[in-house]
Amino acid sequence: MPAAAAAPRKKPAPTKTNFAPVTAEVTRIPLDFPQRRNWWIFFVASSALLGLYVLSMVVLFWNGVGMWGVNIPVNWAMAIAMYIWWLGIGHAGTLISALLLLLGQHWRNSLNRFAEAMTLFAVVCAGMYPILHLGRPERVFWMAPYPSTLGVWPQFRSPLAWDFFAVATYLIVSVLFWYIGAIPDFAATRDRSRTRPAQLFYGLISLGWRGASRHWLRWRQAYRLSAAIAVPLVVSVHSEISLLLAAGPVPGWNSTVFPPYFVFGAAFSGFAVVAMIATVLRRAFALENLVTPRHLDLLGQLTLLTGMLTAYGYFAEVFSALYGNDKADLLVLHDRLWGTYAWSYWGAWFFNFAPLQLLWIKRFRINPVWLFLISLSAATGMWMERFMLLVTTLYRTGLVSSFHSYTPSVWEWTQYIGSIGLFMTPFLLFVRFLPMISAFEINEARDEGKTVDEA
Amino acid sequence: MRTRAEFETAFEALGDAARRDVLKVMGAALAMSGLSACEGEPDPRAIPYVTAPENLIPGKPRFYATAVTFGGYAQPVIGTTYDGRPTKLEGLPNHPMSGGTTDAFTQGQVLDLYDPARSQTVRRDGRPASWALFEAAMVDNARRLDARQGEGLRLLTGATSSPTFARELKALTDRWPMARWHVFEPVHEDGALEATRIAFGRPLSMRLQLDKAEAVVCLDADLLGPGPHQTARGQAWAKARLAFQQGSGRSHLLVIEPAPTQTGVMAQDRLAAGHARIGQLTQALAAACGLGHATVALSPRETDWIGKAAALLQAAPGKALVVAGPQQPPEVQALALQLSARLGAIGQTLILTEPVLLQPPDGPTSFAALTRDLLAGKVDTLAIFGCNPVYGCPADLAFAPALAKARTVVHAGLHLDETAAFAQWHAPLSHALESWGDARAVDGRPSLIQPLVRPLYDTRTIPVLLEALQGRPGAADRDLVMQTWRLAWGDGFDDRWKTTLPKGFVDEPLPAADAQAGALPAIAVPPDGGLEILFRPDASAWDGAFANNAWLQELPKPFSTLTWDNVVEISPALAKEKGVQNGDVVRVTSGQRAIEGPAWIMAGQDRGTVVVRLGYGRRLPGGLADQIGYDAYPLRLSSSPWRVTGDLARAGKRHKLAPVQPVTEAELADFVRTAPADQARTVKRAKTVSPSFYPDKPQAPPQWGMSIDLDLCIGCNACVIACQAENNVPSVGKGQVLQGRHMHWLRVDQYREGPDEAPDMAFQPTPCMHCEEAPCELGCPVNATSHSAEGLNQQVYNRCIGTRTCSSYCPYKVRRFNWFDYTGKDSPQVQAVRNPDVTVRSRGVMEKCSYCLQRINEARIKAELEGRPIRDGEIKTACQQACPTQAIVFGDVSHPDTAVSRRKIQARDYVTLEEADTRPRTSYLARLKSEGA
Amino acid sequence: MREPKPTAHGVYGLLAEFSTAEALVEAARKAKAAGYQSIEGFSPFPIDDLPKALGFTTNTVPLTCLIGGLVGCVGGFLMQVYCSLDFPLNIGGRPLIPPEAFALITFEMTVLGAVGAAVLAMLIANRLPRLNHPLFEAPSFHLASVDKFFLLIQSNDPKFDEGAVRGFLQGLSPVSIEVPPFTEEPE
Repeated sequence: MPAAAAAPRKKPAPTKTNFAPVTAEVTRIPLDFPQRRNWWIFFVASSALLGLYVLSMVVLFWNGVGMWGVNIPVNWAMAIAMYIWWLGIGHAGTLISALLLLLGQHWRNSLNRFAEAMTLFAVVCAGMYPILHLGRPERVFWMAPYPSTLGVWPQFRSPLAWDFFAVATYLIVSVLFWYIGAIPDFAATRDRSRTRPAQLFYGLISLGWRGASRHWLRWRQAYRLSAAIAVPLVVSVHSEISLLLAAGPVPGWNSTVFPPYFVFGAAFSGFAVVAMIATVLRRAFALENLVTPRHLDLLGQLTLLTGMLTAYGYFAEVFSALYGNDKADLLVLHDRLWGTYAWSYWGAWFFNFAPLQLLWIKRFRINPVWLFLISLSAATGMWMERFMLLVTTLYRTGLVSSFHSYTPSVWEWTQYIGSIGLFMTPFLLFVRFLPMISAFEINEARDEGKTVDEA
Repeated sequence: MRTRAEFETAFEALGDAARRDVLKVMGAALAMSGLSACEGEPDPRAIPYVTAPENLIPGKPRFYATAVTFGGYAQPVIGTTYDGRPTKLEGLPNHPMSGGTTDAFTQGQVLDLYDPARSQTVRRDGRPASWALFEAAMVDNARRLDARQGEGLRLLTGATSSPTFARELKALTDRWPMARWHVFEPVHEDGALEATRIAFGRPLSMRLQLDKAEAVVCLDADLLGPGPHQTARGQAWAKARLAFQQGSGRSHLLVIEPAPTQTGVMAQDRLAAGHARIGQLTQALAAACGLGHATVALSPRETDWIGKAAALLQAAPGKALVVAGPQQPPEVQALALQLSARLGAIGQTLILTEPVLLQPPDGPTSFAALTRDLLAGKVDTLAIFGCNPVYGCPADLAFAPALAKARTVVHAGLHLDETAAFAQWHAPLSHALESWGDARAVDGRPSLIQPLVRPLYDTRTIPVLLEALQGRPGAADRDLVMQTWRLAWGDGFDDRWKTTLPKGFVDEPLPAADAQAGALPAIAVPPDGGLEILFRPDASAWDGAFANNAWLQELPKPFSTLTWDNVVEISPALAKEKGVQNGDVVRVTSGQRAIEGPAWIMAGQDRGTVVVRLGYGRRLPGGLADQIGYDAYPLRLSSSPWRVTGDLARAGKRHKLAPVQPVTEAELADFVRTAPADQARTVKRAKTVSPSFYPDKPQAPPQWGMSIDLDLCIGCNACVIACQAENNVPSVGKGQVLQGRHMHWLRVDQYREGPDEAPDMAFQPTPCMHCEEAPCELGCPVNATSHSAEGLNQQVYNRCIGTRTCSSYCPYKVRRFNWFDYTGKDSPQVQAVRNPDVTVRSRGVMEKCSYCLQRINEARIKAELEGRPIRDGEIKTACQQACPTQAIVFGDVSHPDTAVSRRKIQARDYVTLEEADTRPRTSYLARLKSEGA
Repeated sequence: MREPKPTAHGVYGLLAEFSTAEALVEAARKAKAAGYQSIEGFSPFPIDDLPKALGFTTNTVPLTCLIGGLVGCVGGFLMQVYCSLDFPLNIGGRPLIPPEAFALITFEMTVLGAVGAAVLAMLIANRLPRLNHPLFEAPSFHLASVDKFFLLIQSNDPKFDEGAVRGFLQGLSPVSIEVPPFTEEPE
């Protein structure tokens, strides 16, 4: 395709006429599928992980949740930690896409599509955990309000009931937001596809979009409204997740700092993972001209910002424990700092905030490798934090007589490692078959006289 | 038809299973046939405790007064049976030695009845045979023995007090004068009998009247610890303690002991001292009380202790009691006896009677004599009934090899045990709950043993076997018992039998024997041979007799809270010196003899003392007990059965131990409070109810609540097993306990504070607190746990989806979760012991203490049928009913004049984790200081 | 805006192609000024001035969004109240209807209602999804999603006369003019 061939390797400048190259460059990936080797390498690897996930799940359901290391008192551990972790990652996608859209940050256009996709798949990964960790997962639907034969309804004072609604809503809204945002590019892909199956496929998913001005008007209203609503939704969802812990009378959990603390942490880990994905994708699919150093720079800044906010949360937690001077809280604090699982506490401090400081320097922000490593460290740190919050709180609480330590079992680890496959596999299918960057929004920005990475 | 189904389920498991599994499954099948309609009816000739309904109503329990035996003594009980399935044992209320309460072992015995590893067939040389063959062989043997006046016939049994056995034995020896009876009882009381012989000229049984004693001094005597006397003594002690709480009389308990015991925990002043040292201290104490002279050099602490003890004893003439434990040398015990006598104890706090247990001809040396005769080839036929000498025999008696010299060895037992392996003939014994018999309680009152169910398998009782031994096969156990009492009662027999059977016992304690104290015994100071290695029975397995009981195996042992293992208990100082950690395998040597076992560091233990526990290291193919723990008997000597000297060293291995409570160190005041004595009598000032956001609770009566008096709890664990039996609580095995997944609804928490040498220790039973503002309920998203109008925190199993939020939010962590299917794979026998009134929980659901909801409902239905409110005390929770000291009281807290309310208004009433502000319905009464009184 | 019936003229309308957004907007204004009513513009991305130029305004989507939100809000809260009253249970001594505890689900339901309604309204008002459309037959129309801008004057316009319209469009100097025929019955 000449246009595609002519696609520039330099980053697209403002223009009034020359829009085709961007569209071509974005749509060539689903249509012509370049970089097959890279893709297949990733895909095989992630499918293997997904297989591991399914295997662990079968073993779990066959034998019971006892296959994990959980016990009394530590009856919530890795599963819930992973749940919070994955969900937190998801939030960044929505924030980038919705918040920056409202703020008119056009540079987001190069990131929002795959960031949103990341959200979807992260939420799916997260959503699985509460089901997996149930004693009777086959009865999970009892959380939904339906007229059951028992005549009983869900218990809406329970943070878990809130949880069920929050996550379900979040998933649906994310899907809608992501889908309508992509329709115009689906249409573009449809119009550029040359094989019948491709035309049919993209024809169907683009719902017959043809870019009429009236359509555009209504579309924009719907898109911006959803964005405006999605932002508070994100905040509410992760605040709610924090209530899962904070609503109980458990020293170390029962704290008002938790909601903001969790939201910041979520955004932090999320931006970090977006940065990781961005650096990998631009490399793997030669998109350096669309996802430019400036994008990395801005991602780095966001990560740094939310990271420091999270650090503040850490301080606030310690401070409130010391200031409140409640014996039980102090004991928990002591256990976190010096107890059996101190590694997770100090690990969280280190991995979250030590490498993060490099991001004050632009050189590290715009360097893909550094950015990737720092983000990886942040993701690790946040994982440790979630683990720490659950285990160090539960393993020594209340009566001394019920103290008991916790060790994750092999099957807990495989379930976790496998969940990365559950995330990667659909994500790879997405980059393979759908336009992963919002070409029309980039072109819109260019038409308004902006370069691809201008804010 | 039910039986078929059961056979099929039972045989499904068969496959190409190993031989022992086959036996197990066969047992299962037989068991079920035994339990089903045809045979499972209770013996129609047995007479229920309450008057019998005309015919059996399915699903309605029946109660029988009967007894189980423990160490030769009867433990009087009421057995509950559903459709011919014994499911629960409770104490016999009218019996002075039970008062309706039990100990943990008695609670556990109902499970022994169903033990899948029980022996079910006659065996000859290990191969299945038949009763016909056995009896034929016995007839021949009897003919031979007739010819020689029974010379060479030896009978070996465990300790027994059974009148029927005595009668049978007499009949046998009359016929065969040369025959001889021997006794083998690893945890015996020979020392005590010997002591009375020294002090009073003849062997006597001591009946302590703890309820009358205001100053008790225990010298290595675990009066309140596990054993056949625990129920009786616990009760009596609690009576005295209650009187003290109400301000009438005093209650002083001082203890010297080498290793921590429950008695030590209850003591107001506990002094740790070595086994031998205690002998000297006894002398010193006697001297301080003006009895004899002592030349012992005392440490300041010892001087202080003895001074205090002497003062308290002398201040309580006729109400004082000094007891030295049966493991102490007879001389020391004798001295203690004479000291008691001098303090006017005889007839007051100490009643001496003729021995309750039957005494074999050779007395304490009975078993040694038998072994000697075996080796000398003097034994032709050896009948070993109901004991296991090959496992438990002391190292210096080569009993097993000696057996080879006997012409015929006949073994009868509940299991195909270590001894059975050496016998030509093995005959399966009946369990007490399925047989007719009799035995004397610790006070000598004879109990009649009637079956709760006909024998599950084709088994016999010992008297029947004695008949067979004499060539009279086919005797009926019931007839033999009736014969005994016909002789005893003469004409009035028929009526008396009818009246006694439902009552369960003959109300005739052994009369007090007159005893004059003789000269003071000389107390020899044993040479110092290094560490003192003490042999003690295990709190779960005892001498090994209960080793195969899953409930008891999973019962946390006192202080260590260990399950499924026995350990070598050493002092912290010694551990430091030898560089030993908990779980390090240590090699304990004495002379040439040595054993290896995992070490456990026991705070409060005397520095130079090493305690090894009996009852483990069994070889019991197919049994739970097979090869768990270590066997301590190879270190034991018949000459000194309770103490040897030796050394200890690390063996370089480690052994995984499964404590239920990994951490016992705590600030006691946080959980177990101690108050001045008068607080038991002062009323708590108006309870300031903490402010709440939530609406006021409905207080319409009844409102259930519980009060646990920590001043009375002796940590005997009877409540734990009672709860397990009542509520179908599964045993989960060592692996799960290691992972922190034990299922006990009620646990006895153990805490200690202070220096390792002399810590302050306490027990605290912890059931569900039934909080009025329960966080668990708030957490559940599906309404699976909610509050009843009567203030019960209810768990709805079939609604639970297993989010475990309730447990995460529970400050007391009393909720238990079914991580796996813990109940589905139970053998048919174990299923048979289940309480039909309580749901068996499936995989993935939460469970917890329900305040015995089924008992509440039963009482409510009864009350409604009779159109009256539920009476106070009408409902007893399982734990409350079992508790020997009645530390647990349950009832309506909305009514001011109930036992529980009267307790809760005491100034010393408190709740744990008050800061959580969940308003628990279960509250505690603080321990009281004795000094003040 | 109503679409032409197949019977009217045999053609769907006349389609003029432009290469910049400005040109399209300009053309739209002129067409409007010239009194054409059934006109529509097509672009690869939203152009702010275009609807104005076409004299088109709407607030269907925001309205439905608001209504959906309100319905979700009220419905969400009432659902919780109903469930709590239908099977009232004492849960940890908490009140039966605690608004604080119900707030979160109420909010989530509001969000769900609002977004759902907005998206649905957008699709329905746009008559989407739609499998085919006559314009797709126009040879170069596929560029409308890439880098070309089109002005359509439909055949059901009262002033529609193919010659006149073609002449008018020529006057706007488009890149090309195409005449998409009817391929099928429009829905």
